[in-house]
Amino acid sequence: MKQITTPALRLLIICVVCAFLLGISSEITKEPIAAQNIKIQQDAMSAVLPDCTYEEVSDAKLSGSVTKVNKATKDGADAGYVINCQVSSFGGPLTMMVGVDKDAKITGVRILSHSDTPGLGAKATDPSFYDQYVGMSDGLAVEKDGGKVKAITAATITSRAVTLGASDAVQWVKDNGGAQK
Amino acid sequence: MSNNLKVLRDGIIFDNPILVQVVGMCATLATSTSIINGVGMGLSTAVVLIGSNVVISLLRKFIPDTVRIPCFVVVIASFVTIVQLLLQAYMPALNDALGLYIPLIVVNCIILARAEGFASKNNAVASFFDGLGNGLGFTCLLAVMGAVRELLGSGTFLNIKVLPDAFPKTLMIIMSPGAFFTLGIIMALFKYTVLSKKKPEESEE
Repeated sequence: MKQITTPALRLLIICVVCAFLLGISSEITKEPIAAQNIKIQQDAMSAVLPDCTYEEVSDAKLSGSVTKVNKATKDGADAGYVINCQVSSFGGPLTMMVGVDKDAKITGVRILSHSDTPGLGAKATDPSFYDQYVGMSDGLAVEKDGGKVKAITAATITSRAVTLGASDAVQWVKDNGGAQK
Repeated sequence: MSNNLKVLRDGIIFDNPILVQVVGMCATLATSTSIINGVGMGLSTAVVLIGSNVVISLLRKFIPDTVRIPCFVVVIASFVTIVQLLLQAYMPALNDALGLYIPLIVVNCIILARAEGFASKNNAVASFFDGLGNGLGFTCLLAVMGAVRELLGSGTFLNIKVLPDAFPKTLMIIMSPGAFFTLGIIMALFKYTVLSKKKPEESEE
């Protein structure tokens, strides 16, 4: 009997101690992590559409891959929108943020998270790829599909996914930008 | 040569986790696409490995033999999760660089293999050196594989372009088949050159 109870009891003790330590760490780090995430979000927003204040449009009509819309204002005047998109790419979901000014021109694109192949699809996180979107409004398709976007070599699926997100963001502003205050 | 140094050396060379023990293949194949990826993964693993080795070693008298594997798994997973939470909360820059690798470390069987094979039978100091040695051995191999695959696959070295555009880039090397080829060739060369000489000091002892 003891051969069974002693190991079981000790395993239980180890599990309880570990669970307790995990609980404490999770509780202690909860707030700093939340603050970090907000900062990451803020940094990305000011990267795609700089020097603005951002306010979430809570009743935004979401279409396509658009998941969240933030309205940007600069010195009290409309500056455009920062739009979060989630598209499906080669390795799974890819989340990105697109800055679009009020004339529906892209001001910046950043990839927030992805699970594509390092060295191939992951090159979408290089400025050399995402900076080409700046200033675009039409022709948002990869060159292979007749658009103006230069795809990453051997990562057409990723390039198409990012382009789709950018295109949906621009479309959202074209459809809703004027209507919303 | 003192015992701890010998443990350290064996971890790096004669018991190299990848080339000799052949554990942790998944992480090796996946993260050796470039030098930076490889070294990042290697160093994060080394830190976790040292920590988990020391903890397991301290607990080795308390952990009953019959349920040791579940105990190891619980301790290692908790340790990695706590490290990850602390990194996210207090060292965002480091987390940005290494965050990608931490979930991969949990499933890296180097950690469990060293807990089972070494830390559960040796004291904390020796386990520390075993963790350090194996971690460095893992890092060195990932750096070499990363260098080869980055050079042939992307024509760069540490993200700096070294091969002219005219040189054909072999995309396959970056993808999974390339990982197997590269590892196989390195392993064969290693066995042929280093291991064929056998541990020199062992025979004298």
